[in-house]
Amino acid sequence: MTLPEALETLQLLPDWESRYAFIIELAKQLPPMPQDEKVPANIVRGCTSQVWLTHSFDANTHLHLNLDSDALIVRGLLALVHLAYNNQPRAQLAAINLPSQLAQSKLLEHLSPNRRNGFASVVATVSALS
Amino acid sequence: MSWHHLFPALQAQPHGQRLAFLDSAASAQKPHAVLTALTQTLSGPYANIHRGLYHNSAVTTQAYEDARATLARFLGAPANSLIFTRNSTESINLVAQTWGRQNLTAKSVVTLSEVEHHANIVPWQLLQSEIGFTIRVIPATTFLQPTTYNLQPLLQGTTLLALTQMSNVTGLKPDLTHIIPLAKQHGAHVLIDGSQGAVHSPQNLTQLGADFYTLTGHKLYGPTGIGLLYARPEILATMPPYQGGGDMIEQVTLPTGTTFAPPPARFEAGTPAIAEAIGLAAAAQFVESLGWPAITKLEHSLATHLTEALSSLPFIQTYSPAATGIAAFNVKGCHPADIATLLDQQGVAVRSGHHCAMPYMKALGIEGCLRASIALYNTEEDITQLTTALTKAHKMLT
Repeated sequence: MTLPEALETLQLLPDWESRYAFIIELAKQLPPMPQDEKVPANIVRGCTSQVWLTHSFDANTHLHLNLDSDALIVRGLLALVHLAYNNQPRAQLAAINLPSQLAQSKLLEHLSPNRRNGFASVVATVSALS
Repeated sequence: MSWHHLFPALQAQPHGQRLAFLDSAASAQKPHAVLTALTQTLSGPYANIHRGLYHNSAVTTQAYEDARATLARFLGAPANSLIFTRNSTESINLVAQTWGRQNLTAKSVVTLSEVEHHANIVPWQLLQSEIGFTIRVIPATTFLQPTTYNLQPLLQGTTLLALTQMSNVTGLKPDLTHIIPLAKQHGAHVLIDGSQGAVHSPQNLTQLGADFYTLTGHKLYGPTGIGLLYARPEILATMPPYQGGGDMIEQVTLPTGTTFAPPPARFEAGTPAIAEAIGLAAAAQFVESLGWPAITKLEHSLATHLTEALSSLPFIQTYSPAATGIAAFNVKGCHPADIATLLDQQGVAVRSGHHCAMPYMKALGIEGCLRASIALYNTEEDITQLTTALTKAHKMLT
């Protein structure tokens, strides 16, 4: 699935239940992070649940992103971040404005400010990898 | 019988759903009576207190001191034993920085329990890092045993026992009627954190026998930014000032030689939270007008129903030792933050996380949990909404 497909689906879903069910589905599709990488050094601060992030750039300077959380709904949101940023060229990372793309999907309005802040700090961390 | 309609904020409909507000242990909603007291103070003949010789100042000063007298009656304490603070946290810090700094030495022992919230841990640790006394910890399991037998060795040599009246996580209530006299027999001073306890039962602080008692107004249906410290008057008389400024002085001279007012003024530097203090007294009068017997009867019935309702769900693990109105639990196999998010969508407000009590979480062997807490405005419908929402959330996540 691509990010535009995921966002379109979110927009078409009729109610909070189906939108959250979709986010939970995305969470289950996100590849898990190896246990030995879930260490304090890889924790993203500012989240209400634990979020880990590791990354590398390949020979073509494309981003390889690993994200995980102990909470399923956060994991689903991280899957959207993964769709937006993984495999993108380093030079383009800062230009990807995921929050504004998500704003149209009605999902953000259902997130508590704490969740939005946690989500924002992950997005800020990934954008800053450029 | 329900008092739900007396609280305007409960009429809100988050996400278009009926609000089931079950997070009153974090902060309670405010009745009309408190909102009216705030509005009347600030829109009536308002002025700063203890200063002007004109009408407005006299009226406001009288209302502020009447508030202290009302709260003194409410708590069964002499008026000169009550200091207005910002909250329970400030009350505990005040004791640590005044009485603690004056009376604790490197040889002292401050005994705390594992079930304390951070406000009754960190102020002592900050002082300990300067003075170097011993911090002794009462294990959470001690309070689950019927006798105080295991407490004796922990109280031996204790200078100060700082203990909660009711855990903010599980609602566990240490048996203070046994523990306070026992601590006194061992020569200890006693501080009781009444942040939760004062909300659910009437207090008589003189009878309770503690040297210090703290509470916060916003959990007791009062405004934010106002709390109380009770200290036995004879101890208060010996305590040095906490902060310097206006209202706490007797005579100010330069370069040195300033003398201080007697308590409680000595501990209320600067312009206090005047309207909030009057609002807190209005909250106490509101509680009295409903009557403690009726409140405790209703809350007991709701607490029992809450505990039974949670226990009847096979996917729920509970951590509260008794039905006190604060229920700690988890949904098996689910992160508490996920559950709280899905409950929120269904209009149910509960707390998730470590509840500012990380050592207690560790003692319970969990990283976090959910907490549903009852206040006098809750209804059976709130509990039914919670269990229905939990069932749906569990189904969505597993």
